[in-house]
Amino acid sequence: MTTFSLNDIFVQVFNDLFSYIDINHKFMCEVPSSSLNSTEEVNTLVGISGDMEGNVMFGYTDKTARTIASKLLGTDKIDDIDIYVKSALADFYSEFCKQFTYKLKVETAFNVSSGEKKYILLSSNPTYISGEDMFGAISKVPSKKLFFKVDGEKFGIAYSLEQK
Amino acid sequence: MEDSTEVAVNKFDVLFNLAKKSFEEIMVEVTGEAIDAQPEFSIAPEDRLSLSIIIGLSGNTNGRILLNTSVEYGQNIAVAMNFGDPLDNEDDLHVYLAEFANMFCGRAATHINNEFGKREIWISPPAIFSAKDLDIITPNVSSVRAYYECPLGKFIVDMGFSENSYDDF
Repeated sequence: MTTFSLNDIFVQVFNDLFSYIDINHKFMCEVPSSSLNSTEEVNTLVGISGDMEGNVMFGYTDKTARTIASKLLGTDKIDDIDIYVKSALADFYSEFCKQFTYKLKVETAFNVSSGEKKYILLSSNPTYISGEDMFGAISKVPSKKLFFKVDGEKFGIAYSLEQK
Repeated sequence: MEDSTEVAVNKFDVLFNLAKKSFEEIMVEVTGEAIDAQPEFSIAPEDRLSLSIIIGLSGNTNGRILLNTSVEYGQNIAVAMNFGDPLDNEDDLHVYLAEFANMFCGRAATHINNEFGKREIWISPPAIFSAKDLDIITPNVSSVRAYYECPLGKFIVDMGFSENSYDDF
């Protein structure tokens, strides 16, 4: 039985990373869960496996993708979402999931009432997904969705993680 | 003596062949007919809503398995899994396809872990996406594909591997 919230860890990592790249950001709310997620313009999916398994999907606007990429690549303006931009975004979300799984391992080690347990938590390569009228399902059970505001734009993190 | 690149390529070949074998086995179980990989083809995006199932791979080998098809062909799989009966509602499509992907990737993980005699890969649950002009890119992976055409439709098994680990701290 754990005594910490996954939402808190997501928000903490979100604040750390967006502060680091110096982009305005704010956690807004958690929205009711759904098994079929309406996706955003641009999405990045990262699979989690090991002692906890599931998927984390970041959904954001094209403008946010360009804002994040310009900070990461050190340019003023991103003209095209090319492979270099997609790669930079993938690395950013990979870092997000690494920090998330690291914090989760630390929290779990200190907060599991049944005693300390060494967690195996692995994250897969981030995958960039976009398309018109897109629908996505990241799990068979309802997933949670957190909403943030990034530089005035909507930013969502949908996740479904189950302890094995 | 083989260099490390050659060893990695051979390993990826073994992993890909086991993934293909798993897909073929599961398709036989679902359709009752044997299928073989075929020459390259495309699934025309202009007249079909694309559908992709993504399964993350991690562990000693990182990457992802992508199963590309169309919504129409995905529905054929779902109906075949439902013993030929139409689906009760549209959302069931994702449930059936997630189960199909679980069967396929679970079998692949079993074959791979048996082949290597240890826990070589871990798989994450499948995620399913459908869209017009669906664009799915996993940067930093090199991928190999197998093409299948059968009475249920056209399917492309795309397995991508990365040399760098995404889990190291």
